[in-house]
Amino acid sequence: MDEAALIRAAQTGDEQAFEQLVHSYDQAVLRLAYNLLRSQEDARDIYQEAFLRVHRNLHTFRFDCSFHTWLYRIVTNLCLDHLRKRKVRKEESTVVETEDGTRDRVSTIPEPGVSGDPERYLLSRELRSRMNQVLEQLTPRERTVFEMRHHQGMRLRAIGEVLGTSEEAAKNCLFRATQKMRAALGEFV
Amino acid sequence: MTCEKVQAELPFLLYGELSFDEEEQMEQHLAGCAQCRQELDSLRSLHAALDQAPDPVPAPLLMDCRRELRLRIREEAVEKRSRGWWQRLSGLSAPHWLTPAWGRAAGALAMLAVGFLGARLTLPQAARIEPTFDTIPVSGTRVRFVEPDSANGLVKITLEETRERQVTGKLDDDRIRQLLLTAAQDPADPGLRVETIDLLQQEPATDEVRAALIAALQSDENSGVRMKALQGLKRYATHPEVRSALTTVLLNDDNPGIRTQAIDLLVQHKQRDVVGALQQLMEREDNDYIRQRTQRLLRDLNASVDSF
Ligand SMILES: [Zn+2]
Repeated sequence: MDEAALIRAAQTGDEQAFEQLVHSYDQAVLRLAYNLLRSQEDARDIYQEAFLRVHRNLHTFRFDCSFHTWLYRIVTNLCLDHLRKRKVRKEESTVVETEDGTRDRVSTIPEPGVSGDPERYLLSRELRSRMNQVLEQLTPRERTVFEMRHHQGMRLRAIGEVLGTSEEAAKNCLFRATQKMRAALGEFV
Repeated sequence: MTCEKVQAELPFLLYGELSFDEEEQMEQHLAGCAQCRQELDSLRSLHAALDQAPDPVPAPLLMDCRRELRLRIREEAVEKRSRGWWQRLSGLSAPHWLTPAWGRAAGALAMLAVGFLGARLTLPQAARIEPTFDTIPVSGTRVRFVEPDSANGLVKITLEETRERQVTGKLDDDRIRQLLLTAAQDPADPGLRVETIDLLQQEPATDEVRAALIAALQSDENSGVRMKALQGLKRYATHPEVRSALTTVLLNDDNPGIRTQAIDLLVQHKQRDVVGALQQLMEREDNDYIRQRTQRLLRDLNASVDSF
């Protein structure tokens, strides 16, 4: 069954078709949420909420954009909301977030089991921890655009469509994100 | 094109986001400008670093998510249905025993929604729990008849329970173990298999459990399940069958994470039975970490790194 047929079947209540549709996108969605939020729990919440919304609202999907775009609108909205709330929480909090605090959170992310030699491993670990700090400095939008372009390989035009903005704006966002990361990671690369 | 303009467009050159003409102009400029080329190089190494940076999504997470989604969709469907008939009937909201609470899973106790297995299994008589008003499972329960009795204000509802039932028991209960062993092979649901294998490793060590874990490690198509099985086999790591399974995995599994864990487990008990396989591995393995471990182990075992 091609995607359009799958969507139509799911729209009429075919749960198996719905599941098949979910399975062709959910790995990428989970990766996006996990990379953006850096937390298993949060990524899991986004996953559930996003696909439940898809399930509830699929009958309103009219094929006037691609399903990918439609789905990613839902997902990125949820992620952006989450990142913004997190930011507000952090700013409202009277406790200053120390570097240690940041590092703590980073170290709760499980290490990947496989890597090259120990030296490279250490370097990549340090790099990763630095990356996490840098990503915190990007605005939610910059971060989202960067993730979608760099790790999900989406075209800027598609990203603009998902975020309800122009290709040019997405481009500017990506440029700022790149600049910030270069400034912060310069010594590593 | 000025250097400034070129450098502003470099990130988009790397992402392949420029038009053919723009790319042409960039290439022309870069060919004649060492400074911009240097910029491009440094941006390339930034990209290389960024490529390394993201943590892989933990393997069981996807399965967890899929399973939870399936449950929640079913819950929503049931809620909708039950709200429907109940409201039509009496204008009341759904009573609490129709609010799904099952499926939030267990700790040391194994609770299985038998619906996953029902088609293939009949429960031993003793494990049955008579449904009382409080234990009516929501999913899979169908209301067949509704008979309001206006004389005494009661409603008689005839339910048809076709699919799901819960059984509760200790992990060392034989019947629970049998159910788990069957669920560990449920072809339809990798999430269920992962969870079951997880429970099986808490079971008392028996030949049966070991065999199930070995079977999952060697033949489950899902790498999350294989990984779990591998973890469960840790306590059997000196058993010859397990060692032979680990060697097979080491030579054949296409998932480097699993191969890594397999070699780590073999290394813990330095026995010569693995030398031949390790030498074979050195010929075909391309993962640095695994090669390194293998080499070290061979050296520790006073064996040659090459096979003959
Ligand atoms: Zn130049």
